Amino acid sequence: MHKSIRFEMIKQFSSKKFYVIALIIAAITLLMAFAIKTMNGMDDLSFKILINGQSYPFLFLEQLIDLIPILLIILLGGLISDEYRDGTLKLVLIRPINRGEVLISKFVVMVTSVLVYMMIALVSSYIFGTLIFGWGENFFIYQTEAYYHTIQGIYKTLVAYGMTVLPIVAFMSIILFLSILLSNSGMVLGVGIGLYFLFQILLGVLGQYRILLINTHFVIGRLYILAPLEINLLKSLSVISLYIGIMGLMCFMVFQKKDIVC
Amino acid sequence: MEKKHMLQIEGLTKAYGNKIVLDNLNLTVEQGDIYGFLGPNGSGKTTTIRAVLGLVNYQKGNVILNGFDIKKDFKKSIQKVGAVVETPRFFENYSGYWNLKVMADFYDHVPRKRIDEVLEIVGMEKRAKEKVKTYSLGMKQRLGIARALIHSPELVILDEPTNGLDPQGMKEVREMIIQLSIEQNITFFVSTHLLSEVEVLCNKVCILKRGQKIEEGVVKKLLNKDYEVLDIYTPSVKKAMDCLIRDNRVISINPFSEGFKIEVQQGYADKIVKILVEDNVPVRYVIPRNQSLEDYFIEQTKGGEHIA
Repeated sequence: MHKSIRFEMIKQFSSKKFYVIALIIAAITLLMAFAIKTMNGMDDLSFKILINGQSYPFLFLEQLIDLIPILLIILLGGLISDEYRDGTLKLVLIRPINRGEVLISKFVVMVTSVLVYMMIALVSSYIFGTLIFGWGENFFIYQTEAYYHTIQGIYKTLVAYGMTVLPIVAFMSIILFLSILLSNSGMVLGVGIGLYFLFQILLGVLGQYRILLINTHFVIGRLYILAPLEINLLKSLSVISLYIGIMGLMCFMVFQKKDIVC
Repeated sequence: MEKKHMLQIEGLTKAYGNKIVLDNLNLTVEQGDIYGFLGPNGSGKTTTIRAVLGLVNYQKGNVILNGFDIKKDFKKSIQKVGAVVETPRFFENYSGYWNLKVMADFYDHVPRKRIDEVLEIVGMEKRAKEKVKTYSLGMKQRLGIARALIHSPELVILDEPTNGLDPQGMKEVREMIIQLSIEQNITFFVSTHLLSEVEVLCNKVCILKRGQKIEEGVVKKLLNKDYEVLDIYTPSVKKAMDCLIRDNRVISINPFSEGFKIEVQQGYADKIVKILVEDNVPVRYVIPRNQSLEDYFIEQTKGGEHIA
């Protein structure tokens, strides 16, 4: 299996698309920092965001959870469908590895990509936040006006980013399934982004059942830090696990039976 | 001594919906064979190859590769098999060398020098560091064969390996296959719609039509007949036919506008002209017709269907 994972990693991390999206994330981090700086500099603005370099990554996470699923759909939507279309999927499938291993390798690449992008967002927001706002004395959260020691702040930021990875991975497992099912990355992109916005709309419609939507849990990391008593962590993790489990099973079943005719 | 069976297909049946594309197909490829898998376009050749390589599921039958059932023991069955399915596909933005290297990494103990070896075998060593997207179709075909050979397989499956090549390229690929078969004892399973390719390349052939096997056997035996055929051109067709028709060594005579076609017993053809000359029948010319695989195919299929 490690051969298959290594192969998938080589492909993913040597693709231009991967680096373009990494640059986009870094650029958005920088632009948002500039935007806050500009806004805070306006005299007629009654509300100013209290911010410094060590607090900026946590603040940026709020924007990141809206942005990163779409970027990941663009990057990973073709994980299987592009290779199917290009006829390169069969190159792997005629080697001495079984389809389950190929699928697990794709899943590992997907999780790694989410982790790497979250890491890029975290590091670039620390760097640009510090360059633009200065490091500051404490970590603080402007919504709750709570102050923490720098070490505590870094820990809380890491926890928030780390926990956010889980629902994003669950959402991306739906995209992986679409990538197997549709065999056309354009369709995966369209359906994936459509699904994302549909989920966002349903958030406001479903009321108490919104907990069943995966995007409800995109904020799990931030909420865990902001108001840990207000979220039911067990319920959130159960829903996330359920998404990953069900989609993983469906991916496996469809991929095993899929005829590779390209 | 019985030769090792490299590939056995038993009762293979594959359907897409209600359309049956492979119907109870049986064939056996023995070690050392260059086995031609011949059929018109759409006869099911590529589907068979995909089924053999586990790329498509099938409803009935068994595929045994190197003694292992591909459904039960896929990894072992495919371990010593190299393949090019349809037009070879690559990661186009990478070099030929890179494409070979990443595939070699799927196998244990493929030394780096093997990559250079296979590149040399297919004559691609000078262009190996260039991106595949700059290659011509012929170069991609060669690189595809190199990739199929990378792990020193015992059986190589090639799907229309000369497709898209110019006559010189076709000749080179065929020579390469024969050379590899002789020097490295590699068994080849080659699908093609070119009858001439089977005649010059293969020792055995399976003829496929609409997913069904029409014939399987040794090419030379299939072409070996106990009669000879001559086309005789003469202005006196009726007189000539009268001379020959009562001869019991003549099997059949069929006239055409400038002469007639005659089938005679093996070894009797040279006496035909002598009889005609002795009976003062003017003969313009005589064309002996050797039985070709094309004739055989047309005979078997009652019409060749896009066979070139």
